[in-house]
Amino acid sequence: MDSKTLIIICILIYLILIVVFSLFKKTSKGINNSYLNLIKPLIPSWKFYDDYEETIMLFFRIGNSPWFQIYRSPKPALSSLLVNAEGNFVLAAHSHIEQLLNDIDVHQDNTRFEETLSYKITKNFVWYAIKKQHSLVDSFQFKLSTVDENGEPKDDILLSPVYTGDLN
Amino acid sequence: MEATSTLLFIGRFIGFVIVLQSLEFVKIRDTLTEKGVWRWNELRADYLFLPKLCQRMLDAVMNAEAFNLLMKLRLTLALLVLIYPHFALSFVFLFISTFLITLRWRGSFNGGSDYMLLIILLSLSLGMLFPTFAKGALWYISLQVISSYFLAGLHKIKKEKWKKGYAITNFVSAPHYQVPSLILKKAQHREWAKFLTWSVLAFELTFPLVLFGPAVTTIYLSAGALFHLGNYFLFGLNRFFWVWIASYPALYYCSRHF
Repeated sequence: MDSKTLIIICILIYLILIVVFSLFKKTSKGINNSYLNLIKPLIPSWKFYDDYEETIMLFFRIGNSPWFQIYRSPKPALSSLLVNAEGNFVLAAHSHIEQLLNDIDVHQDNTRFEETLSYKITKNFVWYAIKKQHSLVDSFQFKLSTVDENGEPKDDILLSPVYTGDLN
Repeated sequence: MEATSTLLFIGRFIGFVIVLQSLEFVKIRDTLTEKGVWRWNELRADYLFLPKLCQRMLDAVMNAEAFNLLMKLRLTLALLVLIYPHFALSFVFLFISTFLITLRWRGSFNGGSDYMLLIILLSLSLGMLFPTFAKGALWYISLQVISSYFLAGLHKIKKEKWKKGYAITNFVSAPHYQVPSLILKKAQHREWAKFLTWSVLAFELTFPLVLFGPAVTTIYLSAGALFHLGNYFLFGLNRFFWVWIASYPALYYCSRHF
Protein backbone atom coordinates (compact mmCIF):
# COMPACT_ATOMS: atom_id res chain seq x y z
CA MET A 1 0.00 0.00 0.00
CA ASP A 2 1.49 3.38 -0.95
CA SER A 3 1.52 6.34 1.44
CA LYS A 4 -1.20 8.22 -0.48
CA THR A 5 -3.70 5.36 -0.12
CA LEU A 6 -2.79 5.06 3.56
CA ILE A 7 -3.48 8.78 4.12
CA ILE A 8 -6.84 8.53 2.32
CA ILE A 9 -7.82 5.51 4.43
CA CYS A 10 -6.77 7.28 7.67
CA ILE A 11 -8.79 10.40 6.77
CA LEU A 12 -11.83 8.31 5.83
CA ILE A 13 -11.65 6.36 9.11
CA TYR A 14 -11.26 9.63 11.01
CA LEU A 15 -14.30 11.21 9.30
CA ILE A 16 -16.42 8.07 9.80
CA LEU A 17 -15.48 7.98 13.49
CA ILE A 18 -16.43 11.61 14.11
CA VAL A 19 -19.74 11.12 12.28
CA VAL A 20 -20.50 7.99 14.34
CA PHE A 21 -19.57 9.68 17.64
CA SER A 22 -21.58 12.80 16.84
CA LEU A 23 -24.65 10.60 16.21
CA PHE A 24 -24.64 9.32 19.80
CA LYS A 25 -27.20 11.13 21.90
CA LYS A 26 -25.80 12.66 25.08
CA THR A 27 -27.13 10.68 28.01
CA SER A 28 -25.45 12.65 30.78
CA LYS A 29 -23.96 16.09 31.46
CA GLY A 30 -20.67 14.68 30.13
CA ILE A 31 -17.45 13.92 31.96
CA ASN A 32 -17.12 16.10 35.00
CA ASN A 33 -13.49 15.71 35.94
CA SER A 34 -11.57 18.82 37.00
CA TYR A 35 -8.27 17.61 35.50
CA LEU A 36 -9.87 16.71 32.18
CA ASN A 37 -11.60 20.09 32.12
CA LEU A 38 -8.15 21.69 32.15
CA ILE A 39 -7.23 20.11 28.82
CA LYS A 40 -10.66 20.55 27.23
CA PRO A 41 -9.38 23.46 25.08
CA LEU A 42 -7.06 20.98 23.35
CA ILE A 43 -9.90 18.66 22.36
CA PRO A 44 -12.63 21.00 21.10
CA SER A 45 -16.09 19.77 20.10
CA TRP A 46 -16.32 22.37 17.28
CA LYS A 47 -19.92 23.32 17.98
CA PHE A 48 -20.78 26.79 16.73
CA TYR A 49 -24.22 28.38 16.67
CA ASP A 50 -25.84 24.95 16.37
CA ASP A 51 -28.76 25.53 18.70
CA TYR A 52 -30.75 28.71 18.98
CA GLU A 53 -32.29 29.27 22.37
CA GLU A 54 -34.12 32.29 23.69
CA THR A 55 -31.79 35.28 24.17
CA ILE A 56 -30.95 35.88 27.81
CA MET A 57 -29.32 39.11 28.90
CA LEU A 58 -27.99 40.87 31.94
CA PHE A 59 -29.65 44.08 33.13
CA PHE A 60 -28.89 46.48 35.95
CA ARG A 61 -30.51 49.45 37.61
CA ILE A 62 -29.23 52.15 39.90
CA GLY A 63 -31.58 52.92 42.77
CA ASN A 64 -35.08 52.75 41.31
CA SER A 65 -34.10 53.61 37.74
CA PRO A 66 -35.45 51.57 34.81
CA TRP A 67 -33.51 48.42 33.87
CA PHE A 68 -30.61 48.93 31.45
CA GLN A 69 -29.04 46.33 29.19
CA ILE A 70 -25.51 45.90 30.44
CA TYR A 71 -23.27 45.10 27.46
CA ARG A 72 -24.11 45.39 23.79
CA SER A 73 -21.77 44.37 20.98
CA PRO A 74 -20.34 47.36 19.12
CA LYS A 75 -21.27 47.70 15.44
CA PRO A 76 -18.61 45.75 13.50
CA ALA A 77 -16.53 48.12 11.39
CA LEU A 78 -13.70 47.35 9.00
CA SER A 79 -11.29 49.13 11.38
CA SER A 80 -12.02 46.74 14.26
CA LEU A 81 -11.40 43.66 12.13
CA LEU A 82 -7.81 43.95 13.34
CA VAL A 83 -8.25 44.96 16.98
CA ASN A 84 -11.69 44.53 18.51
CA ALA A 85 -11.10 44.76 22.27
CA GLU A 86 -14.57 46.06 23.15
CA GLY A 87 -16.36 43.52 20.94
CA ASN A 88 -14.40 40.60 22.34
CA PHE A 89 -14.99 41.81 25.90
CA VAL A 90 -18.75 41.75 25.19
CA LEU A 91 -18.43 38.26 23.63
CA ALA A 92 -16.62 37.13 26.80
CA ALA A 93 -19.51 38.58 28.84
CA HIS A 94 -21.99 36.55 26.77
CA SER A 95 -19.90 33.39 27.24
CA HIS A 96 -19.93 34.09 30.96
CA ILE A 97 -23.74 34.35 30.93
CA GLU A 98 -23.89 30.88 29.32
CA GLN A 99 -21.65 29.54 32.10
CA LEU A 100 -23.83 31.29 34.69
CA LEU A 101 -26.99 29.70 33.25
CA ASN A 102 -25.34 26.30 33.36
CA ASP A 103 -24.30 26.87 36.98
CA ILE A 104 -27.84 27.95 37.90
CA ASP A 105 -29.02 24.72 36.33
CA VAL A 106 -26.72 22.43 38.31
CA HIS A 107 -26.68 24.41 41.57
CA GLN A 108 -27.32 22.40 44.76
CA ASP A 109 -29.78 23.99 47.16
CA ASN A 110 -27.60 23.51 50.27
CA THR A 111 -25.22 26.34 49.33
CA ARG A 112 -26.04 29.97 48.60
CA PHE A 113 -25.82 30.73 44.89
CA GLU A 114 -24.32 34.15 45.76
CA GLU A 115 -21.22 32.26 46.98
CA THR A 116 -20.53 30.69 43.58
CA LEU A 117 -17.75 32.00 41.37
CA SER A 118 -20.12 32.59 38.45
CA TYR A 119 -22.33 34.82 40.57
CA LYS A 120 -19.33 36.78 41.88
CA ILE A 121 -18.04 37.35 38.33
CA THR A 122 -21.52 38.48 37.24
CA LYS A 123 -21.57 41.01 40.07
CA ASN A 124 -18.10 42.19 39.00
CA PHE A 125 -19.34 42.61 35.41
CA VAL A 126 -22.21 44.77 36.61
CA TRP A 127 -20.08 46.84 38.97
CA TYR A 128 -17.41 47.32 36.28
CA ALA A 129 -20.07 48.60 33.84
CA ILE A 130 -21.57 50.95 36.45
CA LYS A 131 -18.16 52.37 37.38
CA LYS A 132 -17.49 53.15 33.71
CA GLN A 133 -20.63 55.30 33.55
CA HIS A 134 -21.11 56.70 37.06
CA SER A 135 -18.64 58.00 39.59
CA LEU A 136 -20.97 57.59 42.57
CA VAL A 137 -24.01 55.38 43.12
CA ASP A 138 -26.00 54.70 46.32
CA SER A 139 -27.30 51.29 45.38
CA PHE A 140 -27.64 48.96 42.44
CA GLN A 141 -29.31 45.71 41.49
CA PHE A 142 -29.00 43.35 38.55
CA LYS A 143 -30.98 40.59 36.93
CA LEU A 144 -30.74 37.95 34.25
CA SER A 145 -33.80 37.88 32.01
CA THR A 146 -35.14 36.59 28.77
CA VAL A 147 -35.78 39.43 26.32
CA ASP A 148 -38.39 40.41 23.77
CA GLU A 149 -37.54 41.33 20.16
CA ASN A 150 -36.63 44.88 21.23
CA GLY A 151 -34.18 43.69 23.84
CA GLU A 152 -36.44 44.61 26.77
CA PRO A 153 -36.50 42.25 29.79
CA LYS A 154 -39.33 39.70 29.78
CA ASP A 155 -39.04 36.86 32.32
CA ASP A 156 -36.53 37.00 35.18
CA ILE A 157 -34.19 34.06 35.72
CA LEU A 158 -32.06 35.57 38.46
CA LEU A 159 -32.66 38.70 40.53
CA SER A 160 -29.90 39.99 42.78
CA PRO A 161 -30.41 41.64 46.14
CA VAL A 162 -29.93 45.43 46.23
CA TYR A 163 -26.24 46.22 46.77
CA THR A 164 -24.79 49.43 48.16
CA GLY A 165 -22.51 51.26 45.78
CA ASP A 166 -19.33 50.93 47.83
CA LEU A 167 -18.01 47.67 46.40
CA ASN A 168 -14.28 47.42 45.92
CA MET B 1 6.72 24.93 -0.50
CA GLU B 2 8.33 22.35 1.77
CA ALA B 3 6.85 21.32 5.10
CA THR B 4 9.30 23.34 7.19
CA SER B 5 8.92 26.50 5.13
CA THR B 6 5.10 26.15 5.30
CA LEU B 7 5.39 25.89 9.09
CA LEU B 8 7.60 28.99 9.15
CA PHE B 9 5.05 30.88 7.07
CA ILE B 10 2.23 29.84 9.44
CA GLY B 11 4.50 30.78 12.35
CA ARG B 12 4.95 34.32 11.05
CA PHE B 13 1.22 34.68 10.44
CA ILE B 14 0.43 33.41 13.95
CA GLY B 15 2.93 35.96 15.29
CA PHE B 16 0.90 38.67 13.56
CA VAL B 17 -2.36 37.24 14.96
CA ILE B 18 -0.98 37.17 18.51
CA VAL B 19 0.24 40.76 18.18
CA LEU B 20 -3.37 41.78 17.37
CA GLN B 21 -4.76 39.72 20.25
CA SER B 22 -2.18 41.14 22.67
CA LEU B 23 -3.19 44.68 21.73
CA GLU B 24 -6.77 43.73 22.62
CA PHE B 25 -5.63 42.41 26.01
CA VAL B 26 -3.70 45.63 26.66
CA LYS B 27 -6.93 47.58 26.12
CA ILE B 28 -8.91 45.52 28.65
CA ARG B 29 -6.15 44.96 31.20
CA ASP B 30 -8.07 46.76 33.96
CA THR B 31 -10.72 44.00 33.87
CA LEU B 32 -8.09 41.61 35.28
CA THR B 33 -7.27 43.62 38.41
CA GLU B 34 -8.76 42.97 41.84
CA LYS B 35 -11.23 45.79 41.13
CA GLY B 36 -12.10 44.48 37.68
CA VAL B 37 -14.17 41.58 36.39
CA TRP B 38 -11.87 38.55 36.41
CA ARG B 39 -10.21 38.84 39.85
CA TRP B 40 -7.62 36.16 40.49
CA ASN B 41 -8.46 36.06 44.23
CA GLU B 42 -11.91 34.81 43.26
CA LEU B 43 -10.95 32.77 40.18
CA ARG B 44 -8.37 30.72 42.07
CA ALA B 45 -11.28 28.88 43.73
CA ASP B 46 -11.67 26.96 40.44
CA TYR B 47 -8.18 25.45 40.87
CA LEU B 48 -8.17 24.38 44.51
CA PHE B 49 -8.23 20.73 43.39
CA LEU B 50 -4.67 21.09 42.04
CA PRO B 51 -1.62 20.12 44.16
CA LYS B 52 -0.38 22.93 46.43
CA LEU B 53 2.75 23.48 44.31
CA CYS B 54 0.66 24.04 41.15
CA GLN B 55 -1.62 26.41 43.05
CA ARG B 56 1.40 28.42 44.21
CA MET B 57 2.72 28.56 40.64
CA LEU B 58 -0.65 29.74 39.33
CA ASP B 59 -0.86 32.37 42.11
CA ALA B 60 2.53 33.66 41.03
CA VAL B 61 1.61 33.90 37.34
CA MET B 62 -2.09 34.73 37.38
CA ASN B 63 -2.28 37.76 39.67
CA ALA B 64 -3.09 40.90 37.70
CA GLU B 65 0.43 42.36 37.80
CA ALA B 66 2.23 39.15 36.79
CA PHE B 67 -0.36 38.30 34.15
CA ASN B 68 -0.01 41.75 32.65
CA LEU B 69 3.75 41.21 32.46
CA LEU B 70 3.15 37.81 30.85
CA MET B 71 0.95 39.45 28.21
CA LYS B 72 3.70 42.01 27.47
CA LEU B 73 6.22 39.20 27.11
CA ARG B 74 3.76 37.42 24.82
CA LEU B 75 3.48 40.53 22.66
CA THR B 76 7.27 40.85 22.46
CA LEU B 77 7.71 37.20 21.47
CA ALA B 78 4.92 37.46 18.91
CA LEU B 79 6.76 40.40 17.33
CA LEU B 80 9.98 38.39 17.37
CA VAL B 81 8.23 35.42 15.72
CA LEU B 82 6.81 37.72 13.09
CA ILE B 83 10.32 38.85 12.16
CA TYR B 84 12.28 35.67 12.84
CA PRO B 85 10.16 32.52 13.28
CA HIS B 86 13.09 30.07 13.59
CA PHE B 87 13.20 29.76 17.41
CA ALA B 88 11.02 26.75 18.24
CA LEU B 89 10.96 27.69 21.93
CA SER B 90 9.14 30.93 21.09
CA PHE B 91 6.17 28.83 19.95
CA VAL B 92 6.39 26.71 23.09
CA PHE B 93 6.14 29.87 25.21
CA LEU B 94 3.28 31.22 23.08
CA PHE B 95 1.48 27.88 23.48
CA ILE B 96 1.92 27.93 27.28
CA SER B 97 0.81 31.57 27.57
CA THR B 98 -2.28 30.85 25.43
CA PHE B 99 -3.07 27.87 27.65
CA LEU B 100 -2.77 30.14 30.72
CA ILE B 101 -5.21 32.55 29.05
CA THR B 102 -7.77 29.72 28.82
CA LEU B 103 -7.27 29.06 32.55
CA ARG B 104 -7.57 32.77 33.46
CA TRP B 105 -10.92 32.91 31.61
CA ARG B 106 -12.34 29.64 32.97
CA GLY B 107 -12.00 27.65 29.73
CA SER B 108 -11.44 30.31 27.08
CA PHE B 109 -11.54 34.03 26.43
CA ASN B 110 -12.87 33.74 22.88
CA GLY B 111 -14.14 30.14 22.57
CA GLY B 112 -13.19 28.30 19.38
CA SER B 113 -10.57 30.82 18.28
CA ASP B 114 -8.55 30.12 21.45
CA TYR B 115 -8.84 26.38 20.82
CA MET B 116 -7.69 26.64 17.21
CA LEU B 117 -4.83 28.93 18.24
CA LEU B 118 -3.70 26.34 20.81
CA ILE B 119 -3.82 23.58 18.20
CA ILE B 120 -1.75 25.61 15.72
CA LEU B 121 0.79 26.62 18.39
CA LEU B 122 1.13 23.04 19.63
CA SER B 123 1.70 21.86 16.05
CA LEU B 124 4.21 24.63 15.39
CA SER B 125 6.08 23.85 18.62
CA LEU B 126 6.39 20.15 17.80
CA GLY B 127 7.05 20.67 14.10
CA MET B 128 9.81 23.21 14.80
CA LEU B 129 11.41 21.32 17.71
CA PHE B 130 11.46 18.04 15.77
CA PRO B 131 11.66 18.77 12.01
CA THR B 132 10.83 15.13 11.21
CA PHE B 133 7.34 15.87 12.57
CA ALA B 134 6.87 18.93 10.33
CA LYS B 135 4.60 17.09 7.88
CA GLY B 136 2.67 15.49 10.74
CA ALA B 137 2.18 18.93 12.31
CA LEU B 138 0.72 20.30 9.06
CA TRP B 139 -1.57 17.30 8.73
CA TYR B 140 -2.74 17.71 12.32
CA ILE B 141 -3.62 21.38 11.73
CA SER B 142 -5.41 20.44 8.50
CA LEU B 143 -7.46 17.66 10.09
CA GLN B 144 -8.51 19.95 12.94
CA VAL B 145 -9.55 22.69 10.50
CA ILE B 146 -11.50 20.19 8.40
CA SER B 147 -13.14 18.85 11.58
CA SER B 148 -14.00 22.35 12.74
CA TYR B 149 -16.13 23.00 9.65
CA PHE B 150 -17.40 19.46 9.13
CA LEU B 151 -18.45 18.88 12.75
CA ALA B 152 -20.00 22.34 12.98
CA GLY B 153 -22.11 21.45 9.94
CA LEU B 154 -22.96 18.03 11.32
CA HIS B 155 -24.14 19.49 14.66
CA LYS B 156 -26.27 22.04 12.78
CA ILE B 157 -27.94 19.68 10.35
CA LYS B 158 -29.26 17.58 13.24
CA LYS B 159 -31.32 20.56 14.43
CA GLU B 160 -34.79 21.22 13.01
CA LYS B 161 -34.37 25.00 13.17
CA TRP B 162 -31.34 24.78 10.89
CA LYS B 163 -32.97 22.40 8.45
CA LYS B 164 -36.03 24.63 8.15
CA GLY B 165 -33.94 27.79 7.81
CA TYR B 166 -35.10 29.51 11.01
CA ALA B 167 -31.81 29.37 12.89
CA ILE B 168 -29.98 32.05 10.86
CA THR B 169 -32.96 34.43 11.14
CA ASN B 170 -33.06 33.86 14.91
CA PHE B 171 -29.32 34.36 15.39
CA VAL B 172 -29.02 37.57 13.39
CA SER B 173 -32.16 39.01 15.03
CA ALA B 174 -30.85 38.37 18.57
CA PRO B 175 -30.89 41.80 20.27
CA HIS B 176 -27.33 41.62 21.64
CA TYR B 177 -25.76 41.70 18.16
CA GLN B 178 -25.64 44.84 16.06
CA VAL B 179 -26.28 43.27 12.69
CA PRO B 180 -26.44 45.76 9.77
CA SER B 181 -30.11 46.65 9.08
CA LEU B 182 -29.90 45.51 5.44
CA ILE B 183 -28.93 41.97 6.50
CA LEU B 184 -31.51 42.03 9.29
CA LYS B 185 -34.20 42.86 6.75
CA LYS B 186 -32.97 40.21 4.28
CA ALA B 187 -32.90 37.56 7.02
CA GLN B 188 -36.66 37.95 7.51
CA HIS B 189 -37.27 36.71 3.95
CA ARG B 190 -37.85 32.96 4.20
CA GLU B 191 -36.37 32.09 0.81
CA TRP B 192 -33.24 34.13 1.36
CA ALA B 193 -32.76 32.70 4.87
CA LYS B 194 -33.20 29.16 3.52
CA PHE B 195 -30.69 29.79 0.74
CA LEU B 196 -28.15 31.19 3.22
CA THR B 197 -28.74 28.31 5.63
CA TRP B 198 -28.18 25.63 3.00
CA SER B 199 -25.15 27.47 1.60
CA VAL B 200 -23.55 27.40 5.06
CA LEU B 201 -24.46 23.74 5.59
CA ALA B 202 -23.21 22.72 2.13
CA PHE B 203 -19.93 24.59 2.65
CA GLU B 204 -19.31 23.08 6.09
CA LEU B 205 -20.39 19.53 5.29
CA THR B 206 -18.44 19.26 2.03
CA PHE B 207 -15.33 20.92 3.45
CA PRO B 208 -13.35 17.61 3.62
CA LEU B 209 -13.21 17.82 -0.20
CA VAL B 210 -10.77 20.73 0.27
CA LEU B 211 -7.89 18.26 -0.05
CA PHE B 212 -8.83 17.17 -3.58
CA GLY B 213 -6.33 19.24 -5.53
CA PRO B 214 -5.04 22.83 -5.36
CA ALA B 215 -7.88 24.23 -7.53
CA VAL B 216 -10.56 22.84 -5.20
CA THR B 217 -8.50 24.04 -2.22
CA THR B 218 -8.39 27.58 -3.59
CA ILE B 219 -12.18 27.62 -4.02
CA TYR B 220 -12.85 26.30 -0.50
CA LEU B 221 -10.31 28.57 1.17
CA SER B 222 -11.67 31.64 -0.63
CA ALA B 223 -15.18 30.66 0.45
CA GLY B 224 -13.85 30.09 3.98
CA ALA B 225 -12.29 33.54 4.13
CA LEU B 226 -15.58 35.11 2.96
CA PHE B 227 -17.50 32.99 5.47
CA HIS B 228 -15.36 34.25 8.37
CA LEU B 229 -15.53 37.81 7.11
CA GLY B 230 -19.32 37.49 7.06
CA ASN B 231 -19.27 36.12 10.61
CA TYR B 232 -17.25 39.14 11.69
CA PHE B 233 -19.75 41.60 10.23
CA LEU B 234 -22.67 39.68 11.76
CA PHE B 235 -21.33 38.66 15.15
CA GLY B 236 -18.04 40.52 15.62
CA LEU B 237 -15.87 37.36 15.49
CA ASN B 238 -12.64 38.99 14.29
CA ARG B 239 -10.36 36.54 16.10
CA PHE B 240 -11.92 33.58 14.27
CA PHE B 241 -11.19 35.26 10.94
CA TRP B 242 -7.47 35.70 11.65
CA VAL B 243 -6.81 32.38 13.37
CA TRP B 244 -8.54 30.30 10.71
CA ILE B 245 -6.84 32.21 7.89
CA ALA B 246 -3.50 31.49 9.59
CA SER B 247 -4.25 27.76 9.39
CA TYR B 248 -5.06 27.75 5.66
CA PRO B 249 -1.47 27.34 4.37
CA ALA B 250 -1.44 23.93 6.11
CA LEU B 251 -4.47 22.86 4.07
CA TYR B 252 -2.88 24.14 0.91
CA TYR B 253 0.30 22.17 1.65
CA CYS B 254 -1.63 18.98 2.41
CA SER B 255 -3.77 19.22 -0.71
CA ARG B 256 -0.62 19.59 -2.84
CA HIS B 257 0.97 16.54 -1.22
CA PHE B 258 -2.19 14.44 -1.04
